[in-house]
Order: sequence, then structure tokens, then C-alpha cells
Amino acid sequence: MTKTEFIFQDPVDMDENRALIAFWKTVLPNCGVFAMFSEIDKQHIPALQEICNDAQLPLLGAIFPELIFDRQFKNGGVILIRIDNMPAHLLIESLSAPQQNLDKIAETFVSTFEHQHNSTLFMVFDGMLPNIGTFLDTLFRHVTDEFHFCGVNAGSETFQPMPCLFDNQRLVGNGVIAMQMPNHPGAVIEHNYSTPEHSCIATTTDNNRVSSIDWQPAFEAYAKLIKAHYNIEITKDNFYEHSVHFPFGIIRADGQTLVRIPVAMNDDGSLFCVGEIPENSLLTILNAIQPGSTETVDKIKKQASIQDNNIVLGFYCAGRRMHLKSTAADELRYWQDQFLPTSIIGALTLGEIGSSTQGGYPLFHNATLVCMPWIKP
Amino acid sequence: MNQDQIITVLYDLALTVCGETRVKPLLTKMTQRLLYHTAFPCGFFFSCSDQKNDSSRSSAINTVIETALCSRKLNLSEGQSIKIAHIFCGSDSTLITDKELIDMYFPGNEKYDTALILPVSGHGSFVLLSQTNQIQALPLTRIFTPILDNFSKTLSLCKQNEQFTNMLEKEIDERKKAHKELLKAKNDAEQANQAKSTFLSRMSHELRTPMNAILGFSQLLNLEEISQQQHQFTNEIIKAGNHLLDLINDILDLSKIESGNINISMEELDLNKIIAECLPLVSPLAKNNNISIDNQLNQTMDLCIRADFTRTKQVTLNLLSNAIKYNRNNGSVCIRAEHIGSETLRVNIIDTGSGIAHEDEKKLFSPFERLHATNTAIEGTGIGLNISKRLIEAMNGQIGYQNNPPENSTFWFELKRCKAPRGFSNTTDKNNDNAIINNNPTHTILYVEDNPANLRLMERIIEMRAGAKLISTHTAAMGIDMARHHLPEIILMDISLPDNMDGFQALHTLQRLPETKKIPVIAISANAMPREIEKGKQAGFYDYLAKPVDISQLNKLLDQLLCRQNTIQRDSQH
Repeated sequence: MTKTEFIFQDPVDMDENRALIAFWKTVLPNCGVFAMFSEIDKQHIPALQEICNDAQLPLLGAIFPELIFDRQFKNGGVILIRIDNMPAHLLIESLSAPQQNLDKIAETFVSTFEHQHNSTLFMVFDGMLPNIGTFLDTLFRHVTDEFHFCGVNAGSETFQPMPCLFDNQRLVGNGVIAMQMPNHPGAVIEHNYSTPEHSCIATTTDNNRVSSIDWQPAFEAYAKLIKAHYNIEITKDNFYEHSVHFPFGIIRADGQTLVRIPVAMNDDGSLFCVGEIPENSLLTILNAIQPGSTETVDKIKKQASIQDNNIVLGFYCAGRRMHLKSTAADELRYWQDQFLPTSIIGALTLGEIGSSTQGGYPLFHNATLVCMPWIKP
Repeated sequence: MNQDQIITVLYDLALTVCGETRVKPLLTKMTQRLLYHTAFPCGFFFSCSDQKNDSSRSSAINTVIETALCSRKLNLSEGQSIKIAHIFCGSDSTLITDKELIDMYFPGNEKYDTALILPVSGHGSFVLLSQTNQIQALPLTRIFTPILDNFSKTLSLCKQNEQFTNMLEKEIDERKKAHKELLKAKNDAEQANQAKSTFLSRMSHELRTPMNAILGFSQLLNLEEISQQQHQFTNEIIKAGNHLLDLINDILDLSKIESGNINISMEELDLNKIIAECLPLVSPLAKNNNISIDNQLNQTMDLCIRADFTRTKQVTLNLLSNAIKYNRNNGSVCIRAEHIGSETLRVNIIDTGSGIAHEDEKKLFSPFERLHATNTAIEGTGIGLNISKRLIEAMNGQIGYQNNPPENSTFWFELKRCKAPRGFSNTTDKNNDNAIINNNPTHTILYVEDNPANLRLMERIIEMRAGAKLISTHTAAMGIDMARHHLPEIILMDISLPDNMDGFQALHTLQRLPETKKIPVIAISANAMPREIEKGKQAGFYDYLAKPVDISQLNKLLDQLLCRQNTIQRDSQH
């Protein structure tokens, strides 16, 4: 990989990008561009679309709260990655529209992406979509183990709806971009949150909104559970301060637990999570990872198949950073140090998609690190 | 996994299957949920179609794939029959890591290393496959046992439910199909009926047009000085023509009833009045057949009914004429009335005919049914009784027949009585202006008609009126021109005219022209449907006469109009 195979800019310089993209087109006529914009620099997207259109290069991209580059979280800038041979890709809008037929969208995936030995389906969802888990279930029914599934959620860390996915012509929200990475082993995804033995039932839910737990108003029950198991008083005033440290966990038989971080509370006591919680799910209140822990990165390193001179796409959950606060930067630095000389570039994300085994069931996670080797398509 | 976590997983699986009543979604949901929990990437459920006791490694049994969540890598599909090693069909959950064995039975594009077999007692097994060696999945063989035992029961219930549902759906489908066919048959019948009514209506129009000439000229001929024998001949023509006209009217009536276009105007009526109007009409027929009519209506009896006058009279006439026609020579017809309860009046018309055979009674009121009269000299269409029945029913009454052995029969109809009878004024003809105006100066009458025979007839009718002159033309446009030029006192207008302008359009133009707008226009048409007559009057025709023209009715109308013209002229001179 030469140094021009990706670029991080802060501040964003579109003149330089124009020249770089023209050069890419000259040396690799079939190449494309994958772009990650920080939220504060999203105004440059139309200019990038124009540059790619002028150069006749396909473009896919998304807006994230922050970017990851040079062992740090970057709250500004853009990362452009060259894709040497642009593979099959798509951008689908209105994924959660009431009349939307998820089976039909899944069929579009089947017809767009051919079955290839050992390929990865990389997806970026709008993080505000309420039905990502349902869509993944539907998609799995249609393609099962044809691909390794890997993905992240884009958008704003303020959890305000925002168009955050783009291609050459469109900048849209409420959708998904997907790209098939040939000869790709998939991603490794880990949170390492521990699962306690107590459980509760999400008695009333609607997608990612939990209205009642154990037949009590959700917030009231949530506060009681945290008091009982962790001896911490949660009130409506300090909810935002504590909720990120005590996320819900959904337990699976293979021992893996899905994390659901409560990110907002309504006046009626219902809780909004990142990711769906099926009604009547048995939940636990997880014990989030301790600051300073290196176990998550160590587990990732053990599973990841990183080749020399490659870059790695690294995604770090915004909820995890909120929990770890300043020590999140330490974890990121440790992660990068473990993978040297490979560069980790990526973004802060609002949810992550992966499976606990290669080619396994696509699961929607929170609070994870996602490590995806960048192997030139 | 600890005990709580296992319970959690089982609870989740129980939730997944509870509430599902269909077999395929149940199996698909369960397969998907097992894949979710075990992280095996693909799986399916098969049912065994035979059993073998040979459990050697190479023995295989026939199975059918019931549901499959497998990618294009494995190419397994629902309904597919495959042979599976006996070891996959045991009664205990098993983890198989024998790559060769797995590849032997599932030779997909890519090889699978591990198979987790989860049997469902009495039904088959879930098989979950993984490409990576999943020896750590061994505990999963135990975790699912309780839920799989219950799942077996759920699956049995779903299969029973599906059988029952399929049976019901089949029955519903058959009923829907039968209903659809019935509906189609009904619609076809209604369309055919409508087509028949339209045909009859058109035919009636086509028949009335030549009848106008036949009856008209016969009436004119009778006014000429001709021999007595010639009078007899013309009378026969008129009689036959009138009979034919009756037949046409009957057919029209039937078609109107069948198309639902009949108008019934319910009012309080005195039965005496109806009988009084009917008797003179049937007297000539009775006289010709040597039949005496005995009106035995009790004048002290309350004979007030709620019905349509014209339609009740039509029914009464039909029953009376039948009673006369189908009577014996020198027989009699008796009219009686009786109260049936406090609300109904029954009118009995009793004849001394030979009666109706018992087996024929049910056919009496069927259309075109003349029973044994078809080959006799008695005239009739066989639809009179059917029309009567429909008319009486339209007036919320009943009609029937009763055999009175040995030698008479009774036709009766019942109608609702009125509670408060009112007096009925005599409808005496108050028109005193019906003297033919002979001494007036010449009056011009314009006739717009395209049928030459009808035109000749009208010329003869007007010729017989002193002081009247007929001018004529055969198109509406020329009629308008002539009206503007000659300013006739009266315009007679056919409705169906050539050259894309009919009588209605011509009237509309005449009404807009200052010089012609006051000229009375009389429509003369073979289209004698009440709706058309009403439409004509609403459009502004002074009157609407049906063909064949009743000459005396026409003369009366002309007298009335010309007299009015004279009065206006006199008034203007003074």
C-alpha cells in the first residue's frame, strides 16, 4: 500500500483531494472512494461528490461523530480510502419507512452481492434507525452464511436525526450503505462487559424503546436493579451520568451478550436504547468494563488476522467512550500499539454489527471495538 | 453458562415459538433463533420419511427438508428429499465433528466441519452446520433439551392446527368458488334479461311504427263511404291491429317489470270505481262470448284499498277477460269481494269454465305459459297472469287461484285496505272545446316525419278537418326552416329523425327562435315508454302522442289547440 492509498485531512482541503483523486483515477481507472467525515466537517461532502463525479469515480461514505487516526480520536477532518477495484455496493434509503418491505430489500442484497468464497459484507447504517436488528434478522434469513457480516452505525453523537450516508449523488439518512469485500476474513468484534447472574424482563418494548421492566415503569425498575446490585442511586437528574455505565445485556446461548446502552429517558419513564430490545426479552444489567482494562484489545489481537503493511479499519463505540471517559483514549492508544506497524484508521460509532464467529449470525452490538483488516478489494 | 443464563436462553426460545400456529413459520423461527443463540452460521430441519435400525456409519435414511436457512454454499431447499446418515437421526442431541462424514452428506461448495444435531421427538431434527471446528459447542447439546421436548408438542399441535386450517380453507375456497360462480351466473342471467328487455323494447318500437299506418288508415277507411262488407273488413283489420297492439303493450309491460322500470303510484282507491271502469271495457267481449257478468260487490261493504289505480284496473281487466275467454258458452262471470282480517281486501273473479287441472296450477303464473290454450282459437300471449302477479306483488298484495269443483274456478287478488276511505270525485270530461272547428279560417299544421306511410296517414287525417292545411317535411332542419317561414299554428314532430337532429333537438331550436317559440309542438313517436313521454313533456312538448296514433285523441288535441288560437286571435282583435 502506498502512502496515497488513504488520506486523513484536518482541516479538510478539497483542492488537495481533487488532485489526489485525479491521480488515483489515472493509476487505477476502476478504483473507488470510501469516505469517513467527522460530523463537524460534513459541509464538505457536496464538494467531494462533485470531485468524484468529475473524475468518474464511485463514492460511498458516511458521517461519524469523530474519526480515529494516529492513535487518537479526531473531532474534525475526513478520511478518504482508495478502493482499488470498486466492488458491488449499494445505498438504500428509507429502511424504516412503515410501508417498507424488509424482505424485498434483503432480496436486493441477494441480487446485488454474488456468493464468493470468503467475502465480507461491510455495512454502514444510519444510527437512528429503529429496526437495524430486525433488518439483520431478515437479511440473515436470505443469505445466511454467504458472507462475513461486519458493520457500524453512523450519525451524530447527539442522537439527533441527520442525513449521514452518501454516494455520488445522494446524502441521506434512515438507510444503509453496503459493500462486498472479496477475499476478506471479516471483522473481530468485542466488548468484554461481564454478565451478572440476575435478570429482568422487558415487559413492554417498541423497537428501541423500553416502556416497562418487570411490569413497572422502565426507569423505576432500572433504578431499583442498579441500587440492588451495584448500590448506586440513580435519579432522573443523574440518569445520563450513570446509564452509560450500566447498560442492559441480552444473553445468548453461546455465552455472548449483546449490549444495549440506555441513552435517553422520556418523561413517562420509558428508556431509549441504541438497538432494539424485543418485547419480553430477558435482560441483565451489565457490569461495564473497568477503566484501564486491556482485555478487550488483547482478545481482538488474538482473533484478528492482520497482515503486515495493511491498514486496519478500527471502530470504537461512542457509548464505550462515554463510559470509559478519558481512559478510552488510553485503550485506543494501547490498541494501536498492539497492531503496529499497521495503522488503525476509523471512527467513533453509534452501534456495531458483527458476529461472534466467522460467518455467523449478524448481531447488533453496542459498546464494542470493531477491528476490520483493510484488504484491497 | 450458569443456570440463570440457560433459563434465559430457554425463555427466549419459548417466547419465539409461543403464539405461532403455522408449521413453516414455527420451524423457520426456531431454526433462526437456534442459529442466533449458537452462532452456527446455517441450519435446517428435516423430517424422516423412513426408519432403519442399522446404525452403521455409512447407513443412510431418507429425509425431507422442511425448512432451510442455508446459503448458496449448501444448496439445500425446502421440500428437497435427501439421504442423511443414521447418526444424524438419533434421539439424542449430538455434536458431530467428523468432517468426512459431514461432507459425504452435505457436499456443498464449501466444506462444513461441525454439525450440531438437535432432535425433535417424533418429528425430525434441527441440523446446525459450521465451517469452523466448534468443539466448544458441546454444552449446547444439553442446553436445548427441555425446550426441544416442548417444541415437539408445539409442532404436533401446529400440524394438527394446520390440517384443520387447511381443511377449513379448502372448504372456504370451495364455497367462495361456488359463490363466485353463482354470482357470475346471476350476473349473466341479469345481463341476458336486460338484453332481452332491451330487445323487446326495440322490437315494440319497430312494431308500433307500421301499426300506426295500419290502424290509422283503417280508421280513416271506416270514415269513408264504403260498403257494409268493406266496413266489416276494416273492422276486422282494426280489431286484429288492436289485438296486436295489446300484445305489444303486454310485452312492453313485462320488459318494464323485469328491468325494474315500472312505476307504482300508491293511493287510496274505491274498488267500485275500478270495476265500474272495467265492466264497459269487457262487456263487448262478454257479449260476443255469450257470457253474463254478475257484479256482486256489496255496496255497503268498505271497498277502499291502497293501490295504484291504473295497475289495479289492468289486473282486474286481465282476470275478467280471462274469465270470459276461458269460460263455457252461455257461462257467467261473478265479481265478489271479501275482507280477509282487518287489513286485507280480497277480490274474487269466479268463472264457470272447466277449471285448471291440478298439475297445471303451479304453471299458471309463469310467463308465456298458456297451458292447453296454445292450439285453441282463444287469443293470448300467456304473459297476462305473470304481469298481473308481478303488478299485485309490486303493490304489496297477493294473487292466486282456487279450483271450485265441479265446474268453476276462482282467480283472486288481495290488496291492503285503507282505514279512512275518502270520497272519490267523478272524473267527468270538462273539456267543452271539443267541437271540430269547421268554419274558421285555414289553419296551418306542420308535420315533421320521415316515414312516408305515417305522413300519408296524417295528410288524410288533416284533410278530413275542414279549414286545416298540412305542410310537411322529413328532416328536423327543414322543419325548423318551414316553421320560421310558414309560422304554423301547430307543429307535429316525430322524435326519431334522420340527419343527426332528432325531435328533441328541433324543439330546443324552435323554443329559442323568437318567431317560433310560442308555437305548440306535439311529439308523435313510436317510443311509448313512460320515461320517454315524461322526458318529452319536461323538454317542452305540448303533448306526447304514442304511435299508432289514436285519431280521435289527436283530433281532440288539435281542436283544443286551434280553439285556443282562435280565442287568442279574437281577444287580440278586440
